Amino acid sequence: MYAVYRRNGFTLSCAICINTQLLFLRRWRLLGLRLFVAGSKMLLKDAACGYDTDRVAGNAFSKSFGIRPSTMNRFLFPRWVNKFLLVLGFLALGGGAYAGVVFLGATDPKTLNPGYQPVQPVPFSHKIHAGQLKMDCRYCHTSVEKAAHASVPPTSTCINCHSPLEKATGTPALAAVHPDSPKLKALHQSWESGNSVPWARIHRLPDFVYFNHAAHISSGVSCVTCHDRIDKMEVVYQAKELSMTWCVDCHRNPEPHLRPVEFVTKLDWKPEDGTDPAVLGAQLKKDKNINPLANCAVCHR
Amino acid sequence: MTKGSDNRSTYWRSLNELENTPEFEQFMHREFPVAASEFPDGISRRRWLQLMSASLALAGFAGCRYQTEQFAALVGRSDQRLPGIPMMFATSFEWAGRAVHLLAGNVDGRPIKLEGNAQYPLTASVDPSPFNDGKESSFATAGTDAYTQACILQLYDPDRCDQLLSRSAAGKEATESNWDTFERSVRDRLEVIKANAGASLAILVPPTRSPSLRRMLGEIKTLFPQATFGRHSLVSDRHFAAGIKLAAGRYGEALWRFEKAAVICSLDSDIFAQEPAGMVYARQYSLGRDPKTGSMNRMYSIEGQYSMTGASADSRLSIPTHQIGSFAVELEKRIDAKIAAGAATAEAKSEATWDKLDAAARIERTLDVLSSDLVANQGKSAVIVGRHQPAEVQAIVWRINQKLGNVGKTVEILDIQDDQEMLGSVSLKEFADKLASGKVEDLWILGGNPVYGAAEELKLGEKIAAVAHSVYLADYVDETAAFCRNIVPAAHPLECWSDVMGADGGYGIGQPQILPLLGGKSVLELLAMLVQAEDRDPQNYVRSTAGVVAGSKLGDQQWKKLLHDGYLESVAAKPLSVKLDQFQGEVAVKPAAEISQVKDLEIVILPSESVYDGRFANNGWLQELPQSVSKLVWDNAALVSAELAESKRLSQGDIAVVRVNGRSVELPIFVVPGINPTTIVTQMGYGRKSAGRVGNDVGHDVTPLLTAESGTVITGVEIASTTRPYKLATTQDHFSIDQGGLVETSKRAVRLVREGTYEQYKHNDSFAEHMGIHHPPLESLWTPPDVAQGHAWAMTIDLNKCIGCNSCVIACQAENNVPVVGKEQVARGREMHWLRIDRYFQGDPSFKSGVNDPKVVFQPVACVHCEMAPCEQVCPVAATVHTEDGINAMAYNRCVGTRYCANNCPYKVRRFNYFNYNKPYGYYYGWIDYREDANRKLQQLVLNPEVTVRGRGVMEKCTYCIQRVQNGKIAAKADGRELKDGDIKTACQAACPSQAIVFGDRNDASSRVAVLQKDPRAYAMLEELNIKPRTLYLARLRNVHPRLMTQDQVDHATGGHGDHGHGHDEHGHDDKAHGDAHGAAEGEHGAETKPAGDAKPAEEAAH
Repeated sequence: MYAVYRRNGFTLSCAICINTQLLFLRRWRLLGLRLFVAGSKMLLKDAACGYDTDRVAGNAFSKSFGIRPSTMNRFLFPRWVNKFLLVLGFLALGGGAYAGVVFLGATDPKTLNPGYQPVQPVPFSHKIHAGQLKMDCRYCHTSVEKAAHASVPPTSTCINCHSPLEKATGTPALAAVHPDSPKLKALHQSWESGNSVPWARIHRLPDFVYFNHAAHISSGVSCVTCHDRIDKMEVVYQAKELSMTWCVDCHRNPEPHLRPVEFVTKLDWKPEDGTDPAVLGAQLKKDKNINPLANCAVCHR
Repeated sequence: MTKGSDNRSTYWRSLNELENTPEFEQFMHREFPVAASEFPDGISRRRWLQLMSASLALAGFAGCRYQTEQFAALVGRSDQRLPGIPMMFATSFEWAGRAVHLLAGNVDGRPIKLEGNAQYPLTASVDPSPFNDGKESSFATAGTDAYTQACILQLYDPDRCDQLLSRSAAGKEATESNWDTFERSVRDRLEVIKANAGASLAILVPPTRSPSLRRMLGEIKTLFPQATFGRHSLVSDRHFAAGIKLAAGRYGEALWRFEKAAVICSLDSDIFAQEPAGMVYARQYSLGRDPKTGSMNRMYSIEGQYSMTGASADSRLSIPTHQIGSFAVELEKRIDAKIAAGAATAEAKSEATWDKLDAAARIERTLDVLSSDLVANQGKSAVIVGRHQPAEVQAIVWRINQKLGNVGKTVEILDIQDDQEMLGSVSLKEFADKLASGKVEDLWILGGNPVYGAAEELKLGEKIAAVAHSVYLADYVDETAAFCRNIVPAAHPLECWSDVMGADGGYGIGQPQILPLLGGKSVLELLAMLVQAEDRDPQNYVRSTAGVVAGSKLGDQQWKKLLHDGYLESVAAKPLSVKLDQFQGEVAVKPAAEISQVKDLEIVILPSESVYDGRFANNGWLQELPQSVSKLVWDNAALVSAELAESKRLSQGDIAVVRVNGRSVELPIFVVPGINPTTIVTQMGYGRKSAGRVGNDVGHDVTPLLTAESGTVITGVEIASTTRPYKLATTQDHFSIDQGGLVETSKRAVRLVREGTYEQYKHNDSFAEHMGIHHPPLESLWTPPDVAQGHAWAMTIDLNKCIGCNSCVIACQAENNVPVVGKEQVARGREMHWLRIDRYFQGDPSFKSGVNDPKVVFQPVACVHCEMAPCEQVCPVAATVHTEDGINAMAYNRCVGTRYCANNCPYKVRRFNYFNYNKPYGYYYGWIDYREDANRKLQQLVLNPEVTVRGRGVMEKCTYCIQRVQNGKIAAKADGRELKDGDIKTACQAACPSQAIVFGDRNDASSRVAVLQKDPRAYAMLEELNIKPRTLYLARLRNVHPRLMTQDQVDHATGGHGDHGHGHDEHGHDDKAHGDAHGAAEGEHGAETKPAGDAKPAEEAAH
């Protein structure tokens, strides 16, 4: 269940959200109102039957519900209605809790964002490449130190190791790691046709947010800070919230997340002598004059 | 009050304001003049959608579930190419005979921004940087003109011709064809053409400066010696060519060196706007506008229109355009006499000041002073005449320059061949006659839309239609395409290989930035098809041409260097050693005294500042660009003086009929003070019928007034109002800072846009500082922020260098994804330009001719980034806040659209998105047509990915190009270095041809901006509000000859009013420094009552 939630976490919380929205749909509201009116009429008729109503003229309320004044002098709910009071109280409390869950829990970035794990055209395993084979992140994500985008590698980078079998010779042109694996079909098709591999994007920020990898890497913020242990992920998912508060928290208190620049891609890095990363971070912050700002224009342009 | 104030300069922006019309009143009393939310009712739904297609944007993701977003990673990527990082490629192209040398910013394979190539030798040779301190490398900007900036939008125009069309017979519908069929028909025709040696072939070419195209046409001429070549351009340069031939005996191109000129005299020449090398000239001019280094040139402008150059001039004289010849002849006589007499200086006499003179006396005085000034500056002066003036007048002016010894010094005649002469091209009239003769069976029109604007009597369209095999290289399916059999889509200049010859005769390469988006072909490719060349690769052809120009075949290394630099080093045309006084003829002229008596009306048809000759008609950015003096958008009009309007009973905005020899056009009237009372000025390029969805039926077509021989200055004009009203949209009263009407404006404008004479500056260089309000020491309600730490971004705008060319406006629009809103929205005051150029008229409206001889001052205004920003104090959601380095930032996603900030902004620089200008509404607010969708996808490619696209209900404004600032900082950080002055250039700064705009870090004491902010001319607009703007202005100086000064200027130049004695010493000011501030001070002390509780200045007591 949790795995399903992890993959479709957002969808699930969305379903809750949609239910709530449906309650407020105009159509439903109208239906509810009608039911209420019809029920009230029945109750009133019921009540009217047990009393002598000839002496008192009907009030505006009963008139408005189409009850003949001559049959009613005052209105009383019958006793059996009292049972519903409990239900009503329960509904009010339960509704409050439900709303609380929906608006505080389900829409929280922690619920909405982490766990997003789209299906990729090629089941590329970071666990094998970055974890077992210990390839550096920058072998593929080449522009991470120079540009805003870390960049998804071009097909040619994959082909360096996974080149397909040439039709003419039956041998691969470059290194031949799994040259005929069906899992690499999308990759080889891309290489042969010249079209992109349709990689699905996992870590996404809104269009009005301008995150820059180079600025963070050059300050010594590791990949692991935002992406978690990619080297342990068989299929990559979003591990952190990547919400505004989450960003701002770090911008206000960067020390625990700083490390020497040479270790940014070493995901399992810990200070050698066992010092507290925050202490080392504070030192780095001072030495390198790292002063992350937290004004709007840092990310919003 | 003293009598001095009667002569005070008075500023106003429009006649509406001057007369305080109800419309103006309404505009003034509401920040947002018309109710905010109504859908544009004056505009048809269709029109609205059409406009929208000019500014569409990235579609947002709707719904609550994550939609899977895909990467389109490249299959192979060069290691220099980084996703999202613009790569700058040097490229060049030509349009309308102008060469532009550029750096194209290419992001992820799509060019989105054009900057001038500062290293191009001609540009680099004139660096109008404020200092000569060897900082050029990082600071050099070349600037471009507004048209070139806007070319990028046209690249993504979905209305461009996007398929090969052909029609089987004249008058039939053109249908889609394919290249094979076309190629086959060309091959078949080639046999015929070869057989008759080209007798059946006629080629119509627009003027070209491309060495490759010239070479290829030359080859075709050799191949088919009988072929007819025609040359066509609506904006003709034939008068210039004929003039230089009269003067020098042969053709050559003029290259001016205004930076070497102390006196520049423009005889009806709009140097900056209409000269092909205008942007270079703007640089040269601005180099001579630096009073600090003592280099102050003096520019005279004698013209009938009110041009951008006239506005920049120190002295302007208004005479009828067709009398420029008379003026030139008279000027020459005086120069002759003065050279002979050897007495050059015109001594100041005690005589009436300029503002007291009538028209005839003004001409006389100008002639006298100008001739003396020119003679006193022999070899250091320049007399330039408008290209639309007759050849004889051009020749006379060349003779004047020769006599003044300017040739070879301030002007060079370069050994450049005329393309018409080279090909033996005939004029359009002869070409039409040739077509009519029936001998032409193959007609190739290489672009230029010759049918639009061709004189009616030529019947060009019909004649083209009669040719059995016609091929038209079409940018759009336009007026010409309607008559051609084969319509070939043309590639945009940024999509093809090309080359240009610079204004100095240098060689610039044009390399494609993107493959043809709509399958267009370049002219070189098309001609290669005509001759069935073996090697059809235009790259090879251009490369071999470059080899010819360089003198030897280019090796790979040299070719790469050429592509990298964009130009060939040490290639330039040689100056001819010719004498320019060979013209001996006479021209019929009027004596000087009679020039002012001319009553004959004339009409001057100029290329539009927006659409040029109509080629940019479908360009929304340019259509919505306020024209520099009239501030009209989305229209042309008959611009007339107030005097003419009064005498002919023409009222602003009414349609008038303009008649010449039985031909007539209808035009709306727009009154521009300062135009000569006999002159009607209008612009060509409007009223297009098949320009595209944006440009169709915008404005009125004035070309029916032209005949094959008429030229664009036509006399014998009648004008009469039809009293039919017409709605013109102008931005001149929008976002006015002062809201108190004329009296208040005249008082305040002196403080907003400060100017003085050079004499005054020499007397007291900090006069501008003292033109502000006298106020007690300012105290703030808020704790002022600490601005001494870190960066402090700041800007200066030198009003002395600004020529009002609008280049910055378009550059800002391109950089910051500013939408186009359409004429109706502009009329409601909802234009979105972050940077506007305020235009003030200055003159004494109480004096009769004051209205008709005003001076013009330009002032670019964008957000000034106040340190204590009033907008931030009223934002209820903190959507506009300050960054630590002093930028007033906007968080669009936080803005809820209360518009309090705009209300509280004293500079009126905030813009509100009344509509989702960047989102298609779809037909009936829902269904989005696939065509609309495709268009949107094409159009959104022009958007800068570094800037958020704003939606409806959001406030926006200048951000000091925060994306450039942030990226500059990040790049420096990634490189591990400190930011250098000049690393970060704003878009407006980079586009400014005269380097009037300087941006940088004020906390870096050595930065240019820091030095300029301490310049004595620097002042803060509205400093009395204590909001501490970061943008400072440098006061404008007019280097007026003492004898041409108005009383007002004389008063100021001599250091103040003798009978006016404030006790300034008590105020702690330097006495001498203060004399000039009186003009402003009087308004303050004399007319206004002080608010109670104000610390009473000591000077009040001294009264």
